[in-house]
Amino acid sequence: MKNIDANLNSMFFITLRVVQTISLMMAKEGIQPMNKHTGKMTFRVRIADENLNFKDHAFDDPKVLGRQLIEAAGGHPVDEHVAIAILPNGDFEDIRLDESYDLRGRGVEKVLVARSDRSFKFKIDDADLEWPRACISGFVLRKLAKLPPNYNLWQEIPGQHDKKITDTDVINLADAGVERFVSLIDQTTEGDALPSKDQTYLSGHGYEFEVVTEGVNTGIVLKGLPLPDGKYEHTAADVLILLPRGYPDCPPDMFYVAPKLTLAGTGQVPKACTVEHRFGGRVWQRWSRHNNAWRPGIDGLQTMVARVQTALAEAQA
Amino acid sequence: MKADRLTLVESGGIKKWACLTCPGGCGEVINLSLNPNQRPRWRISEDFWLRPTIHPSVHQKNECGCHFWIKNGQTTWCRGGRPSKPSKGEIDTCYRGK
Repeated sequence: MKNIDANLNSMFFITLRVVQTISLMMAKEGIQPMNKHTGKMTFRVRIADENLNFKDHAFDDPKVLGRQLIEAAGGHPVDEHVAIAILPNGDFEDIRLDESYDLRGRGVEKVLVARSDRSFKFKIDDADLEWPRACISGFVLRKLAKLPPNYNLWQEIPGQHDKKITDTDVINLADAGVERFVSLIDQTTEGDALPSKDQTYLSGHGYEFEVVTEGVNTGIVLKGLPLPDGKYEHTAADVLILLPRGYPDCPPDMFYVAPKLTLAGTGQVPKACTVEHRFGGRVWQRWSRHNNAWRPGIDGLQTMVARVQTALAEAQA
Repeated sequence: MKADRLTLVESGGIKKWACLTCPGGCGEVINLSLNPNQRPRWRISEDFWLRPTIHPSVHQKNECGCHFWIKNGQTTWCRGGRPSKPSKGEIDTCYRGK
């Protein structure tokens, strides 16, 4: 008895597996399995809403009208909605309300249904896409473009700088002209804004430093620079050197110190050091010591640090 | 794109992109955004002989890992940023309008 049971079980198991394998094959071929209740073949389609959330739907008929797709997705009234087929290559194709759309032979069919009376066309790289709304998020754009995470999406803007699209950006596709987007692999970073000669100098001379950027400005902060013995009410201070555009061909001008330095004994502020400057979330004391001699290509932070040291040593009230 | 050429993409008088083949010899095309309002960003200038200067340095995040400066058409390698087979020669700029 036990043996027969086991046999029956395994036969049943095998039958089940064969059925499963067949339905898997059929799904792959685009042929759909039978509907259990009606005994008819069903044809599956995945319908997305405008957030690109897909839901599976099944039709008994291999050919469906655009309006049937919209009705299946709950779109009402139908004529205020659009159905757009998402082709396997990622391109989009409008399905008119009374156009019959064949659900066979293209793999799993994907359709986008959204409320709209028109659609907006745009291009990502070479693919022609469209969207039923004027506004589209960067997130949806990236999803449509099937961008791998190491790629960035850029909006091409004629006559202006191209714009990198982040997930939370909202792009208005109704703006004049076909919107164009390009994807570029993200493999390049800005090196440190500090030339390697300066890096070598600073680390070679035992300076502890930090490169701080704020907006378009870059500054070098020398940390805990020892001050001349007994000259100030502090023994060490941080020194900020702002690098101008075009550095190292253009000279840094003044320098900045934190905390604010006062001369020991008198407690007076050194000459031309009364102005405060905010940078990198700190308040700095500006040392107005101008740079009149700069040799592009020769001078660098070593020159600037020497000027700072001299100024700190010579400061008078 | 020739190895010793930097292509400047301009539109409406705005310099948008500086594109060059990686001087490290890996063959990758490097696209540097010149948009000042986002990061990463670079600035480009040219001298009388159209030799480009790019600021700041260019650091590749791919296996090539090149890290270099371009100053007056000359590639200067940063410490640790020089690949085993760097290309030689000077870089000049050509324009491509859009």
